[in-house]
Amino acid sequence: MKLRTRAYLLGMLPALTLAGMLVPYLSASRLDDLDATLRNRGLTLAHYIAESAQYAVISGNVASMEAVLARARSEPDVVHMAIYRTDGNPVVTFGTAPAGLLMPLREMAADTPLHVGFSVPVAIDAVLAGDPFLPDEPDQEQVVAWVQLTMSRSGNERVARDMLVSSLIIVALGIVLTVALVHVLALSGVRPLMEIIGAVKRIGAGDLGGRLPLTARSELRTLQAGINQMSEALALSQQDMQARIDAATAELALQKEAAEQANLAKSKFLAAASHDLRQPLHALGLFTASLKQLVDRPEQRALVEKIEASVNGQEEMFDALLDLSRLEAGTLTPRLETFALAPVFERLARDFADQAREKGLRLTVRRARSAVRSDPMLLSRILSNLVSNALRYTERGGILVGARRRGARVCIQVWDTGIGITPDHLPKVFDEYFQVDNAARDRRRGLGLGLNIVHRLCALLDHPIDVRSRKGLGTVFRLTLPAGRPEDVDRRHGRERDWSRFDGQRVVVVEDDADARDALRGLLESWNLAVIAARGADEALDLARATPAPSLIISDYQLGGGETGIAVVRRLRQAWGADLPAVLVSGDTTAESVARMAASGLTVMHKPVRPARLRAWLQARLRG
Amino acid sequence: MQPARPAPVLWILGCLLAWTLAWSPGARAARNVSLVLSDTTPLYQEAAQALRQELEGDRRDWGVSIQSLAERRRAEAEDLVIPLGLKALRAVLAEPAVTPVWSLLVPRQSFEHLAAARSRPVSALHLDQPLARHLAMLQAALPGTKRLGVLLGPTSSGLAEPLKEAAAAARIELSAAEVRHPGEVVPALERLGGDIDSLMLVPDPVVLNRTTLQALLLHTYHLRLPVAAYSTQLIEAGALLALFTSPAQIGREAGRRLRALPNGGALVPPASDYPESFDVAVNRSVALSLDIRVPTGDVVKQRMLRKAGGR
Repeated sequence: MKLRTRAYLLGMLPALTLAGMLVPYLSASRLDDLDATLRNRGLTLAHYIAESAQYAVISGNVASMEAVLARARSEPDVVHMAIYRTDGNPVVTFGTAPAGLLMPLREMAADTPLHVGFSVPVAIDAVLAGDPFLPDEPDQEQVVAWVQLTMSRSGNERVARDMLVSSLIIVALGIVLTVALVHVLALSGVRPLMEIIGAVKRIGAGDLGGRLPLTARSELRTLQAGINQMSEALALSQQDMQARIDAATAELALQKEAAEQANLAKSKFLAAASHDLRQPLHALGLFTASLKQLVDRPEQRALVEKIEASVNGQEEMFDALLDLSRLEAGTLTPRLETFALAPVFERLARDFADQAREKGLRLTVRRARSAVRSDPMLLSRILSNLVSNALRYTERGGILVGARRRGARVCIQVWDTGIGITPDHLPKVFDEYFQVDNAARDRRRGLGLGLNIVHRLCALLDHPIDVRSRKGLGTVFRLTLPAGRPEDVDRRHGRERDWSRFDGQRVVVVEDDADARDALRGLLESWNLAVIAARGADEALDLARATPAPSLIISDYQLGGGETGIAVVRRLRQAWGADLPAVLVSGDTTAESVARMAASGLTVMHKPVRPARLRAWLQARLRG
Repeated sequence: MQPARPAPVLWILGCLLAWTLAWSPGARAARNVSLVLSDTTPLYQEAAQALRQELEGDRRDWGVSIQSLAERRRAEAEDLVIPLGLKALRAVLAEPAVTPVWSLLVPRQSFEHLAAARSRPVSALHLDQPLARHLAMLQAALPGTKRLGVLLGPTSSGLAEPLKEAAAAARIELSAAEVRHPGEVVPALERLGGDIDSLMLVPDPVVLNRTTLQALLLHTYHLRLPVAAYSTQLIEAGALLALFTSPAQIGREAGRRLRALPNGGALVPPASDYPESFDVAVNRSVALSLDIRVPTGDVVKQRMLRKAGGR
């Protein structure tokens, strides 16, 4: 119960209780008093009449009796008076006797709720009582007549009613006074306490600005001062804490900015480095591919193949970096379709067969019968990374790739008998640059980006992936992806083309870097394609003017003079037709450029472009 | 060991024996007097107590028993029965006994009416005063009184002649009116009204009772008649003068008269007589109301005594 309510109850309950008991008691008591007074008056008046009329009665003087009644008539509340002879006949009467008030001729009082009546004798005065001269003294007075008188109680009731109303008014005034007193005396005493309670509530709600006025005269004054001190201390403490938080936040912001700057610098460096490195590597790859077409002797061919393997390793690393750039840039959009897993698995087996054989490992890719719904390019990348990773960490035994239908899902597993991963490393295997047992960063083991890319691609494709491993026994990665209906499979996939079908087809190559341009020209020509190589759009248009329209455009993205491959393709398409197939080859991995290329809708290949991939694309676009 | 001495019990027993022997019937010459009171009102109590006190002062032994009429037990050894009041007299006279009776506090007329033809010795010390004393009081208090009125009823009609004589002796003209029943009181007074200076009241139940008193006195006020009465009750009721013997005076006088009786022989009560002692009372309020100069009761009494002594 609130303090205020208690104080009011404390002040008012006794007063109300007292009033509740006193008002009825006093009213009843007052009514009794009034009734007693009325009775006394009535009885006295009746006796007065009896005595006054004594002589008149004795002498039979009616006029005198009437005079007596007339005098008594002025008394209030008298409604009826009469003098009766002893035989019951009235001698004189005033007013009407109320009905229901029965009074026989004997000394008595009669009551009704509204009236009280008295009957008294008119007796001969006992003036000679004890007079020895009288022979026979009567034992009692001699009654010669009866006076009857009736009084009305209505006056009393009116007085009692007035008194009740007055009492209630007094009680109401008393209650008002009590409330005022409680308010002024009691609550003024506890007001500081209530202010303190209010202040504590405000402090609890976090408002530390308010201060209590030191109004109390008692110990509460100390409490008020204490609350103020506490409030000030809390405010100071809060300010101090806020300042620290602000400083820490500012520091954090600075660090975040520095980190972002560092990340940006890293991205810029990566982009620049990859662009600058890609050009020669791109050319090297193309040259190697061309060279391989030219050499015939087995020892030369073996040498070229070793060169090609080294180049491929470098290309893989670049691909990984590129993928990471694209994933970070958010420009990689999966193109979902339904396709058979079998060609993907076959290509996987083919791509890694040599590598496995070289390490003396057994690569087993089970025949896949399922169709899945995914992005075939990205899925191939995931599986390549997984197999590549398995090969990297397996020294003996083998690698097994298999797929199994699980209801509406297809589960692809890549097993190896490699070094395995300890349980404490297991959660980190998908982190960037994490490599098990490669603290020395042996570059032959790659960059440690493969599994991170796998993880990111799986998230992008919404394909759950998990890993289980036992140290020294091996590791298994399990990828789960939705199954597709075989009837939805795009039949174009997996069709091998005949190289001879490229004969006579013309390809425009726009590349400002001379090495890259020559390398690409050599590669394409080795594939029996007619190449129109140019440094820019203008040169390409000039060269092609006299010739029929080409079948395809391959353009570098970043050309000299601020020209981009996108603009070149647009111009060339204006000249030769809007549906002319085109591919952008780019070493620029900045997020901005990647986004712009993605927005152009053109096919984009990043340097170094693997010849196999380029060939696959050409096969799909060039009609035989 | 304590020395042997008579036990206190023996002393007490010895004293009781001596007292019993002293009061034994053979040893006394006491006279047993039974006072019978009409009732226990102070009137009779006062008289009885005064009588007993008077007798206690006598060197002779008086056995005085006081009893109210209600508790009256007639003792065998009664030498004298003294009824106080009319009721007691009537009751005692009705007793089948021969013990002498001496009546006190009974008006002469009533006593004579009751005592007539009684075989046992009956006498009285009357309640009322001799007529001559009444006239003497009137002359002492209201010397100017020449014509005196009196209302005589059936009981007091016998006073007509003695009154006439007494008045004549006092050289006062007496006018007597006869009243046969209470209703005639006021008319009788009105008849007398203009012819008299004062009115003398004499005891008569028909003339003066509770019914007639107020009307009688009111009429005397109308007529501005001073009233000479015979009791303190009438003074209180509105009479101007009253001549009376108080109950205590009666008791004492009765005691004195008993003590004056001769020793020896059977107890013979005093002969019937009026009391010697008396008092006079004056109602000053009435005197003021009637604008009459009256000396105090004591002065009146002294004048009466002086006049009687001077004679």
